[in-house]
Amino acid sequence: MPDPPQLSWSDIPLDLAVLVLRRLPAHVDRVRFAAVCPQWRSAARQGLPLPRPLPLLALQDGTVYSLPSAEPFRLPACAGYRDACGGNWLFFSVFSDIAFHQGKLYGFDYIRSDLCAIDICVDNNTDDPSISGIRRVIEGTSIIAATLVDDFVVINTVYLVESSGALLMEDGTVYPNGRNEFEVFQADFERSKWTESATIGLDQVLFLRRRCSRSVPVSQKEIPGNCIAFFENDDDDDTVWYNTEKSSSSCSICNMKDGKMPSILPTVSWKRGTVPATWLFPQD
Amino acid sequence: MEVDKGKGEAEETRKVAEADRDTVTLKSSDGKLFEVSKEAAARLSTVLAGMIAGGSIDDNGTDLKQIGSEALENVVDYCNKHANSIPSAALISSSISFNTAPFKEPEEWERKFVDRLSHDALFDLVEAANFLGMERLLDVTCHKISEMMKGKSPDQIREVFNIKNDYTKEELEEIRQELAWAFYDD
Repeated sequence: MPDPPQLSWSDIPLDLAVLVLRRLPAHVDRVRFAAVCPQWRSAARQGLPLPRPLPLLALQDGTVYSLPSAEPFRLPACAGYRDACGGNWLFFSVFSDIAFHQGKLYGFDYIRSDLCAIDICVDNNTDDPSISGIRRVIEGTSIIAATLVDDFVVINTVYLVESSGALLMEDGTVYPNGRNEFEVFQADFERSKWTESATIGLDQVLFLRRRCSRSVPVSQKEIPGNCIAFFENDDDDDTVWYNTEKSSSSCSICNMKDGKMPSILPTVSWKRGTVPATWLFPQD
Repeated sequence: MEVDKGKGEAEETRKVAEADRDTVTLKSSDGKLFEVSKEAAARLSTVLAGMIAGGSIDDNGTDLKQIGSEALENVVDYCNKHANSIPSAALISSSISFNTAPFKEPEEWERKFVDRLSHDALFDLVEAANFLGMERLLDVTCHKISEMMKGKSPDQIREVFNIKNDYTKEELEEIRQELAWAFYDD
């Protein structure tokens, strides 16, 4: 029986197409997969469970990287965005970071180092959300924004992010030599305290960016977990703590266990503008 | 890839005659016989494991009518190689979930095994692995296919996989507008 001269890959069974899709962690590769032919398009749109894709790295000028791919794209619609979250979060400037956890909004009060629960209610007539109350849930920790080490200012940046059902706080320290260090704490709401945690999970990568941090599950082999991806000089608020002389920024990643830097981020630096670079998380 | 046609039926039949109980004989859709380690077949294929356990293995060659000789030869080759390889620690401990199921990286020899295949042979092998319920071989083949797609534009993917672009002009324009950013030729 002679083989047909050319087999058509567009006829690959749906379940096999999904197996291939699962192995494409870059959002852009999945989008392109779905654009190849109608059969693959419908395979991609079946809504079968796929691992969450990695986020995209968006720079202010509209350059976008779909992690872990190194090739940049132009996303003109993205250029000149005003803030990473798109909304007006001015009210929250009292909080150095905010995050949702189990449907509730939490903020980290930078001045007092308190974790606060922010109650939001929605006006029945206008549908406008408003703050109905702010409650302190974990009292001030030893975390302070900036300290002096050998006459140099050492800057701390605190992030909140929900990961695997827990609310985590990452306390990032930038040393004068540019070295970054993170301490991770887990909120213990029952005992109203933070518990230091040596790991963030072998299959999780935290993508930190104030007010829009997210934990992304990864395959440990292809993309190592237990890592934190962050922006250097994530200081768009330009508060008194910061030395604003640094004119360029970049992103970096480090493994919580061994400090290694897996190569899922492009080596790129950019001139700091009025709005910061950010992660874009494709919809699930 | 040209498959070695020297492994003809006569040779296979001779092998079968020498076979002991450690192996099973499989018959491709085009009537060729292949011998495979019984232990590896049962371990790597849920379908073959079921047939072995259920006693539906034919000593004169178990019919696998859905699988051509080239694909079956690769399946058997894979099983026999697997029988001889020592699983690495990484393979044993690969229980980290990738959202819904364990995700296993191919071993070095498995990469080489699929790298040498033509696209048609790879296509047949992934279908055979699917049919035989060979999860590990599916992992390896689908990993290879995904590697062939990464970083490529839809046009480049169509070229690699010999897929005709049979979207209508309107559909294509719609996709382009929707996803303009994801294309190189934008």
